[in-house]
Amino acid sequence: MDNILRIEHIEKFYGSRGNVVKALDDISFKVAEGEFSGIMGPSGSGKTTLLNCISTIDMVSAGNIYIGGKNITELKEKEMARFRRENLGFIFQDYSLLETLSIKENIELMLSVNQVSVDEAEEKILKIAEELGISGILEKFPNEVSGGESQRCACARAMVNKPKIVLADEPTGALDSHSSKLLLQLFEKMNERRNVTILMVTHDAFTASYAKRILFLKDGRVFTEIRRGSKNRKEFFNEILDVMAVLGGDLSDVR
Amino acid sequence: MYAKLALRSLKRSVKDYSIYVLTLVLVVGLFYSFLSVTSPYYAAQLPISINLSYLSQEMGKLIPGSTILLSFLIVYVNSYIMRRKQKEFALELMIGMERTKVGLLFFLETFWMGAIAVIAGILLGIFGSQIISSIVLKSFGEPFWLRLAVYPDTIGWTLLFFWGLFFLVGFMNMRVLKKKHLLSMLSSVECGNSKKWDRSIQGIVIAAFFLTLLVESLLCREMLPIIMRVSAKIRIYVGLWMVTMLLLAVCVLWFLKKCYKNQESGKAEAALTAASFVDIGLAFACAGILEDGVKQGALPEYWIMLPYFYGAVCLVMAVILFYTSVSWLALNRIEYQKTGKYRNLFLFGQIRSNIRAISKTMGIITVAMVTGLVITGWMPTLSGEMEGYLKERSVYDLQIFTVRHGVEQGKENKRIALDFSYIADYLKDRQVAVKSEIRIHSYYLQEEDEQEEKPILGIAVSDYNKLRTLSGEKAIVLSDNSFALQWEKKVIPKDMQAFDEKYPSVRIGNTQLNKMADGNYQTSVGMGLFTGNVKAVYILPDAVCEGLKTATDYYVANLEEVLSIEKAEKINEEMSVWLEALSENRQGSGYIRLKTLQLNQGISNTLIQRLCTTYISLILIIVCATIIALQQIMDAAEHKKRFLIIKKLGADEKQMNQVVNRQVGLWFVVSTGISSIVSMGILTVICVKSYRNYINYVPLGEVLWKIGLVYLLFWLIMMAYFAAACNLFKKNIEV
Repeated sequence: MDNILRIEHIEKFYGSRGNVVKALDDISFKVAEGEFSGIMGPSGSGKTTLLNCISTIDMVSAGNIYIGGKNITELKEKEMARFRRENLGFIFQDYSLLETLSIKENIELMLSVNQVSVDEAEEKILKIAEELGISGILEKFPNEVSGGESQRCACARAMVNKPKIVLADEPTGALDSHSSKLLLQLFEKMNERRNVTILMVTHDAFTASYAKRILFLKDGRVFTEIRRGSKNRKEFFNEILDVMAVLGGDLSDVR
Repeated sequence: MYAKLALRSLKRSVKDYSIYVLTLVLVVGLFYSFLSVTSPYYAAQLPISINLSYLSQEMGKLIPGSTILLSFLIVYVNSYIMRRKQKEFALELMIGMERTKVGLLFFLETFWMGAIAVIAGILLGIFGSQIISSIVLKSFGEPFWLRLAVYPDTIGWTLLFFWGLFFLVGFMNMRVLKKKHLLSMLSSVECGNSKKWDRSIQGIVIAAFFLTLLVESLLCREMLPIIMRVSAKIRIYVGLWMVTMLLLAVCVLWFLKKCYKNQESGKAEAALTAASFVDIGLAFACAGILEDGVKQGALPEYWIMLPYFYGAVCLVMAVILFYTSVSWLALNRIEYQKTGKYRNLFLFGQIRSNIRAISKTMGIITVAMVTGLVITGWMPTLSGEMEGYLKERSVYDLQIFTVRHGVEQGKENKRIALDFSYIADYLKDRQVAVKSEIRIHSYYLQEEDEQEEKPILGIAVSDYNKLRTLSGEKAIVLSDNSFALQWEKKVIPKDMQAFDEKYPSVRIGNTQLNKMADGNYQTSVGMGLFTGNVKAVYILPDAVCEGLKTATDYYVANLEEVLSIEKAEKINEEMSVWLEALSENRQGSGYIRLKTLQLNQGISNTLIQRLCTTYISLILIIVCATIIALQQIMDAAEHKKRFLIIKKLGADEKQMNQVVNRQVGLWFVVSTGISSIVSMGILTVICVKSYRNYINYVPLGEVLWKIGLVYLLFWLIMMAYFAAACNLFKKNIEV
């Protein structure tokens, strides 16, 4: 399988002279096409900074990030927006849905930004809504649906345009356990059926256990990496907990 | 310490309020500029022939009075800042600060902003006052010269007025803050627009409803008993009006029912808007009919103003509802326009989210802008008409004339003869040297004319020629058995022609006189010939006048020297007493007019009108433009997250700019467009209706040119505010 994401020796510094913080320290890894990967680590380990750098929201201080063979660290400001809308899909902890638009319009917005034709957009929306089980709430507004439904809508928005990679930042952070489970099952389903590449940042072991591979960050570095392989989810969950114990995560991180 | 904290807080939010501060600077600058001409320091620099005491007195009241309009903007901005800062206030209270101190801190923050604006505004006003001064001097025919307009009293009044206003608003804010619950502050949700407009619009609708019922019942009571005696046209107009008022009342009830049930009321609003506009049209159409009824004594006097008042209330309601109904219609249309909506999804969402609240604000803003545009658009023409009339009536240095015997303005007047020799002696006593004088009479053409209400009088051609000569015009010659007519300046050729066709000849005793060819004159011959609201005087052969009964006396003089204001006032007072004593009832016997006083009062009046209306309109337009801009900037600050989302989704700079320009532009274009169209409609009606009054003083081309200039200035102001709003909007949504 081709590598969709390739990260080579990236570093990220914050602050000014005399007060410099190294958020990312020589990180390198690859994500293959159709892979469902997770990034874990305690608070301040650099998870969100890494995701922001991959999503072109933030710039690296050193190193290269390749998405679909394109080095995004060399992109100009104008090219970045285009790259983002054509190649990346985003899912945020707070759903980031526009409360001014209906669920359908929120998904439609992504296609409109990408200048997909109206008819094609309609077709794509109905298809993804069907897959994600949100057909019945398409005409509703975000404040009229539950958190789980909102996040599924965000999920549809991220995937409707078939991006090269979907970046999910703590997607279950604001959901109850039932909704979290439903969402993660959907992630699994989309990953398996649609071959969607997902990179998910989480600090929750249960959420991470749905991924096929986990990268653990500590103090801005890759601490270790584990793969699910042929293990079932429960075994993989236990393995994650073990790594977390070594990493120094407290029990509250473990469900 | 607190001042420092407040200043820091102000620095942090400076980009949110920069447009507000800019408006404050502009308004203070305008205030200072216009008020500077009322300063005694300014008056002291003027030539002695200019007396600005009346102008100063009137403007000294009108300028601060109209600046109260600004308080709406200050209150609007303050309430918004307070809403945004609620959590900050809550935090300060939680760490143990007293409510008074929290309030004081907020007061200092807003006061800093105001204080800086007032000082900058005064500096701007010092330059701006040069323009106002040049207008004043030009009006009095004096050359303009630059002067440093730093007047301590004007500075003092400006500081006192604006700082007073800030103190008052600050005090109110502190009171509001004192009553707020800590819990409600902590759980406050930053929302774009408060729900207050919903209540206020319902208030206006309910007020209009009761007013409609009142007018309807009054019409029933006063028109129905006489309905069969009036013409069919009146019956149709008044009848239609009564029916539309009932329709309006039904629409109001429908609208209120929808509001009460909290249902989408687009249809009800659209119906109410349409009914209001029809009702307004009929109210104005009936106004003239009802006024005639009042003049004939068939209706009470309040019917002169009631239709206009009713129309104005309905207009406010109609314009506000117009926005909501048009928005409702537009949104419904967009829902069906798949591609258009799809391409502008974000903008569509933005508009839909606050359309109801903004519509109401926009309606009020439009009413204010229409008022400003109509006032400023029409003022140059009105001033031109006033100036033209002033020139016409102040052609001689001194005019004394009696009113005619008979009935005038409902009062019985007895014939009063002027003792011309007394006037000559009086002037000699007061050491007023007369260069040339004329003593003439006007006559009744028929004996029975004396009992008529408005008979056309006649004067001898020799007397008329004396007046013409004194006015610097050539004498006329009447051909045998003919007459000519001297018309008031404002009479238009069409009316003169109509009169000629209707009355080609006149019979005086046994003599038949025919109208002389080209015998219509509109020379300025002072005020004494047109005393009874009659617009024309027959110019008759001297021989014909010999046997006629005298109607009025007219004394005219040009003096060797221009009278000073003090001397003119003294003569005016003494001669008025003398004139009054000639009449049995000590009033209405005649009038005295002195050029010095006519010019000073006339020019002062015109100036007051021009300056004050320009000032009020500018304030209205600037305040409205600021509110539209602030609404958008505040939206950007409050809903920054929405823009961040589409940015994260991959919207590029061009797309973001497009969204911002369209969102901000929409409200600017809509409000500017609607106020321009509505005000143009109103100005067209005024232009047509008062055509006869101004056309002989101000040509139509000039009227249109001046109105065009006002619109150009208005559009420039709106464009400047639009550009500033777009810029600040983009800064507010920057990451």
